[in-house]
Amino acid sequence: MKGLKKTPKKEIIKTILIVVIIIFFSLLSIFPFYWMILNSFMDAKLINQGSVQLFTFSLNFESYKAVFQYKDGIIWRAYFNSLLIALTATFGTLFTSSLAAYAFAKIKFIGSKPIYGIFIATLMIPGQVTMIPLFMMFAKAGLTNSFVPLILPGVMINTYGVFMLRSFIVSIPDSLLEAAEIDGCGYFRKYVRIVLPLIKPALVTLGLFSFIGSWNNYIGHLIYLSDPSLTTIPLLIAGFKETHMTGAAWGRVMAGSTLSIIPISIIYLRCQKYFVQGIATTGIK
Amino acid sequence: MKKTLKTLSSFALFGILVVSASSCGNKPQVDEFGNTIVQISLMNSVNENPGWLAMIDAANEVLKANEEKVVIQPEIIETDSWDTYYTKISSNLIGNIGGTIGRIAESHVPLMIERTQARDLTALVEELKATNEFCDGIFEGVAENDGKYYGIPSGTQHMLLYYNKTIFDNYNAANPDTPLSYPSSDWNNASTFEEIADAARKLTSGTGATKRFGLSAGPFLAFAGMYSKNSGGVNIFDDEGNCCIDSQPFYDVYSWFEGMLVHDKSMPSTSDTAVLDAAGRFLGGNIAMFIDGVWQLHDICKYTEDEIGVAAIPVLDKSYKSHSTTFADRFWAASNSKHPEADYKALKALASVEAVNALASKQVGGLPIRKASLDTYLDSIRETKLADYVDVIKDGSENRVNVPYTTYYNQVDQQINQKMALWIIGDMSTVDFVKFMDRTMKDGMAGRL
Repeated sequence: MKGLKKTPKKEIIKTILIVVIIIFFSLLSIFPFYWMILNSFMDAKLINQGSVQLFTFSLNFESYKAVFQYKDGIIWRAYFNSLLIALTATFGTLFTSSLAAYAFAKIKFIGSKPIYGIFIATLMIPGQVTMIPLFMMFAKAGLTNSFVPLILPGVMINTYGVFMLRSFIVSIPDSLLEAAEIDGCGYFRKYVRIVLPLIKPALVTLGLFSFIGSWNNYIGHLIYLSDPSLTTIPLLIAGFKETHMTGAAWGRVMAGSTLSIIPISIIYLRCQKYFVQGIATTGIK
Repeated sequence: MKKTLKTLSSFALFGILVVSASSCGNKPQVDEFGNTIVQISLMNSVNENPGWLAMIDAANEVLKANEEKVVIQPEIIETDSWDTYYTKISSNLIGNIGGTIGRIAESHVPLMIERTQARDLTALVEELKATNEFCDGIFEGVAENDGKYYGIPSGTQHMLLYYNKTIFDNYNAANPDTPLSYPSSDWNNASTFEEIADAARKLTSGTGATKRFGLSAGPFLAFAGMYSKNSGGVNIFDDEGNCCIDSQPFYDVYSWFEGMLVHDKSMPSTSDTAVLDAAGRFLGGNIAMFIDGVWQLHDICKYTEDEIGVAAIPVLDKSYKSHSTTFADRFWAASNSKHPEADYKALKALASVEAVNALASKQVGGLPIRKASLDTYLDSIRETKLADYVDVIKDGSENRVNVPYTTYYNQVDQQINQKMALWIIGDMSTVDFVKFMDRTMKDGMAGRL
């Protein structure tokens, strides 16, 4: 006890202040989710009356029942389709982005810097600008009303992913790769055996961003998919909202939204360790 | 050599892939019986879908009976607004995929015409008109351009004043000395703005999330013409096409709204209905009077146990006749369809007695376009809790005010809505707001937006 320094009063106040601010903003962030879950379990009539109490949690499953019964249980199909698109797009993006990032970071070739510069410059082009030309290309190729247009563009070019992973790969010491080369590793083996394991946190971070982006891509799903069997979670939730909506459907919207965040929550909680590490080491949020 | 061969075969494989992918283009679809499949794009609505599907089934029966070799299939588009629906059908039309016919809100028809997305349907309209079986003037309006018609109405929807009789009765029981009358159901002797504002003030009670408001009505541009006519003014434009918003009737109308929104707080603002919309609050008994369209009839019958009455839209003075804003959503046909003949036959079948009756019997889609089908629709209402109000519902459609939609209308509307927030919280006077509306409309007309 003697050796311990007494914490100054100023420090304690500062810590308390920081904790209070963090708690305040955490509650602010959590509140919409809490409200959504609370309403999803409420009696639809109570929601209509606006009399849902903040701290009264009832367990009424009517809204969930309505969601699962909607169009003969199409939610399972929507889940499957959304997962298929999001997982394929995510793994594809991780593979191509990490390959490109590795090349830009560690392989010396003529024009690598100008090419990388041009590549990065495309970050400044908003997605809305390329949406119509891309749509027309896929329409001409007869690939609309399929998952291909929702997966392929992200897999082919994800500038943000390349930029993020390159900044991570650059920090890997060259000596490690040189040692692997002496042991007989080629470019691809070095990439698989050395680079990928070392950039795991960055891959998880990018993967999470990519998955969330794909999972929530309402406008992309809307314009490319028409067949009911190809419906996805964002389309389904928009369908729950619909036009001329009555208050009676709010519970269904909340229940559908609650169900839609489950996969993202699971993935985030499972990969939280890597995610925090990835953000801390790349400085990218 | 081996390497070159490998590279060449890779390129060849890629080429084959591209060619085969390209050849998957959209060809006219034909079913196993040789019928051309005409897809119809519809915006998803759980309440209305059964009506549209019944209409399509009936139209298919008509096509089959006439041996037309055409079959209609629905393409339900999962959206929550007409804007998003329009985005979807626009991309479909660019890609030549999806529905080659569809239904769209009246507000978007001028855009479809201007962008040459909608096909000229004059021949079909003339054919239908010649039967003399359709309601008067039903084909006129926004879908008419330079003497040509680009849409077939799917039904007409007009505005009504709904009121919660239970709330009125409870108020009267608690205040026997100063009872409130129900709003008038007579379109020639409607309740006045002052009477409605007084009732709204008295029926407003409580605070916070459970606050009950006296009246909900949208002070939006789409309804401005209706209220103006109910105050002795014109429907936005005069006969010469001049914008007349900067005139006394509009000041009277918006002063009435200001009284309830800003001073009495008897009308919910946009933030009050952000979590739960006005329709939901009315159905839940949180709003005593509610001015909205006939599309609410179905929900009112289904989702509230309170006694509901229907009345005419209020007027400034008893000397004015009450009018009702009318919307007529349209069926359109794609200008780039690969089977225009089949689309024509499909639309004709959708306008048949059988199809219109099938829709009317489900009580959705508004008032039918056919004279004879109107009874089917009204009979369906006679079987509901609103049976006593069939006449007031019917009469409202006869006092119609069409929204003067144009290609710039949506831009004008958006700009006015943005400024409306300032007016609602009292940061902008009614005079300034009306002048802003007038200026914005004139800017739109001059192409300055």
